[in-house]
Amino acid sequence: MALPKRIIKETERLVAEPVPGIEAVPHEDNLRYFDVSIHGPAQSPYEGGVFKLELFLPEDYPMTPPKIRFLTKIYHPNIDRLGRICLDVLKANWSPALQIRTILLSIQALLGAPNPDDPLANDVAQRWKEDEPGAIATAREWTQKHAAP
Amino acid sequence: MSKAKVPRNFRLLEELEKGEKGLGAESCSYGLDDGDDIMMSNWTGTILGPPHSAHENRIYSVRIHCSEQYPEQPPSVTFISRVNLPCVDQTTGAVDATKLPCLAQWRYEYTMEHVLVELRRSMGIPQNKKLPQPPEGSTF
Amino acid sequence: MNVYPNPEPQLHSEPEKGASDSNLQRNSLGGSDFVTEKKTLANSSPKLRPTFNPESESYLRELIRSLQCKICNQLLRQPLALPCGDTLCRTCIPRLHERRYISYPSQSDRKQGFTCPFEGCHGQEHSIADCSLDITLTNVLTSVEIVLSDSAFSQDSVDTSSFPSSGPGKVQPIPPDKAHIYKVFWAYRIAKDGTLPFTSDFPTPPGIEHSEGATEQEKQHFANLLARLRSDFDCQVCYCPYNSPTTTSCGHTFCKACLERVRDHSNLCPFCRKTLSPYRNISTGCGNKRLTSLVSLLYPQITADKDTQASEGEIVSEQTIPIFACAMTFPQIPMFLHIFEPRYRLMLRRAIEDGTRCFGMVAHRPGSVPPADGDFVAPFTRYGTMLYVTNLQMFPDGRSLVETMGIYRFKIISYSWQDGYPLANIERVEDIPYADEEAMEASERINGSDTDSPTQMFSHLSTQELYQRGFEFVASMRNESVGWFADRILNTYGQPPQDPAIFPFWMATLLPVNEREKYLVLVSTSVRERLKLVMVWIKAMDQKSWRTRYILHRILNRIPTIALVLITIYIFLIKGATNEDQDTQKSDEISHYFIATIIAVIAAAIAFSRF
Repeated sequence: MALPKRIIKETERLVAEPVPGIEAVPHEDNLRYFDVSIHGPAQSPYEGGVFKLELFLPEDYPMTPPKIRFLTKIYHPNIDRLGRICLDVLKANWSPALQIRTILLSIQALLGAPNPDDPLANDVAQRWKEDEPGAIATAREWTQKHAAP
Repeated sequence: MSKAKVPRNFRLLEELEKGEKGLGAESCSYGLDDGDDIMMSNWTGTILGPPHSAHENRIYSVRIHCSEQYPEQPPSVTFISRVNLPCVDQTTGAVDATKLPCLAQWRYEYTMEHVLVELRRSMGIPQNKKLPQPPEGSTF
Repeated sequence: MNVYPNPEPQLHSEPEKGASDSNLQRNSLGGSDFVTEKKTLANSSPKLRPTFNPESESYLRELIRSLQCKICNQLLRQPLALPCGDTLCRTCIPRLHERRYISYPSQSDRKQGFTCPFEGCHGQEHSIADCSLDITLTNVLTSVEIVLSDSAFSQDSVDTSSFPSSGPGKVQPIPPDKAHIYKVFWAYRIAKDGTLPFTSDFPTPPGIEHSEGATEQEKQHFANLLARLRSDFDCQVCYCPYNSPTTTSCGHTFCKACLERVRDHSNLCPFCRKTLSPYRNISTGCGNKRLTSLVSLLYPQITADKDTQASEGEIVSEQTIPIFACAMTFPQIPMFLHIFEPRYRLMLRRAIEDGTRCFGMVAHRPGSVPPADGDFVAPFTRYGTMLYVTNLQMFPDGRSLVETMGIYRFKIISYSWQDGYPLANIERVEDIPYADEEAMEASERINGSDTDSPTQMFSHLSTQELYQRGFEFVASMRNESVGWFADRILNTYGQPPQDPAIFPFWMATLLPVNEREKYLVLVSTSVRERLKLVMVWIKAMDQKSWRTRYILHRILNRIPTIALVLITIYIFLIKGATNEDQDTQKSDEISHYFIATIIAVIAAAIAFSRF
């Protein structure tokens, strides 16, 4: 099936006007499948890290949200051990007016503002609530260990 | 109209979620070996032996490995529990892909669940259901 | 000296009819020469579109006209998109009046309305709630202002300060190389003032003796304008230029087909997440006329292809779904199924595996063909409800218990069989637009209904009253603890819905009404009509005869139990009597007990089979 025009346009724009700190490149053999990298936001424990993600636009995109997960290990209360992300706009709050760009920005923002009250990784969230400095230190450690550019 | 091709990792995530929610077929289940394995390569499946056969009330464990090429290529399947079946190598427990139809004629849409269900079915077919079985609980 | 006449703004000016050619005509008016080009906007068919020549006068006139209010002639200020597809300034809305005899949907802003001033609308009434600030058009106006305003020209080193003002006074001649841009600037300015009549042609300002046409620099300027405008015309769902632009009641515009697709997944606006109006409004409603004509100006190619696109759009709006022929179900009402037939197990498994978790449910056809089904030949009804699997419990033997929720109603267009179950092409069935619902209510309450149907006797009631009465009936029946509103049932089906559109579906699910009657509710696309049908049922049940029958029914149900009690008493009485006669006692006692036991067993069997 021909790729919907929307996906072509989104891809073109991602290339033409890249978002600082975010990169998304489609696979040659599957134009719905993107290799993504996000730079950890400044003033966050993820600063200095480059995180790899993968993104897939399902058949009925943009009616349903893109599927996306982290490939780089990350210590974050809303990201589980398999890199799955708990973010409202990726689930119930998805809207077809959102796009790859906005979703990646939301994920970058999530790195800057972890939300331990809506956790996906329960042990991490627990630690974040009980010992925030410790959790942040671990997040920083993991960033250095796994997300070094 | 061909469908959008779901990449390996997202396909495995779908299978994982289906397995976790228990939406899969009756009498078979599967799960990820290592919850930290970001590539989701190694899985363990269980098969409840079909009734009215030598396998009745037995639980078999199998190891499933999904390569980089999955689901273009079928997974490789090895029995952990000892079992006497024509498609299972009696020294290693490996399932001979040429002897199990769903592996021999593998299709992109097939899942690990398909393989487990078919293995279970092969235990219950007339020519196999009376085969003498090794003691329960023994492993390869 | 040439002076541009300053005509009074014309109210209700309509495009000149019959001006179907684009020949240049020379008019002589008050001694001044005008180059005019007769064009119509509203009536222009795509063939009459000016050639795509952005700097040409006719093109620019058309562009400016698309942004002018037909009422005040000024450039639209806070443009409101009306449900009929026309547009006017917020300040140009005719005097509002209270809309009477309407009660559904019950929103305070629906009570305010006005008579549409546009000819094409034939004096229809619009509710102010259905008119929204057209956000796309507002953006377009801003973009045009940025490019065509004085400051924009000066940025492009076109010195507007040397241009004469529009006011009276001495007019300086304009040099020929500046004449063209000056004309554009002038036209835009007088349109803004409201002194350029909607139907008039491209005006020639005073001071123009001779024009050399557009310079290269100006051409660039207009090309920039178009480039800037185009991004305003991209639908934010498909990222393509609007195809049949349709504006929501919250003022956001999408392609009609995109909006329909969105509506399949959610009833919230993709932009602002406000609730979208009923689906039917989208599929049968009018497109936004202004935006449609602007798209045809900016994207002539797309407009030319529209016929093919429209037919493609229709194909998209039809879907193929698996069908389970079983029972009548309704939207927003849960349904519990026990699926055991192999073919439906397969159907269910497929619905779960492909991730849709949806299938259509229709009822077995009740005897003869219901009128709504027309010539539809099938062992099941034509209309049904799409069900979404909310919960699933699969048993080891392959059976499953399925909890579903009705999502929307559909009509089967055609069907075929696949692996033992029907696969159907369907079309969604949605309620008529609010405005039609209100018109129907007002007309019935004023004139009564002239149909012979049993619902006629409820025509004088407002839609809200109909709903209220239904609601009260449920409450009173619950007080009498009638079986079908027992707590156990309400726990399953929920409390009576607050939404009058859904309430009849709930009633149809719970009340012991025959399938034929229920089907009328299922196929009805009017909330008011559905409520009236429910009222007919209520009336029938409320009558004394029904009450007696119901009490009788309860007694009949209890007869076996009563009989059992009576027999037991009888046995003990006999036993008591025979106690006096010790000699004959033994054999008699045995036979009595034997008979009594048999009777008791039979009675118990009847009793249990009854419940």
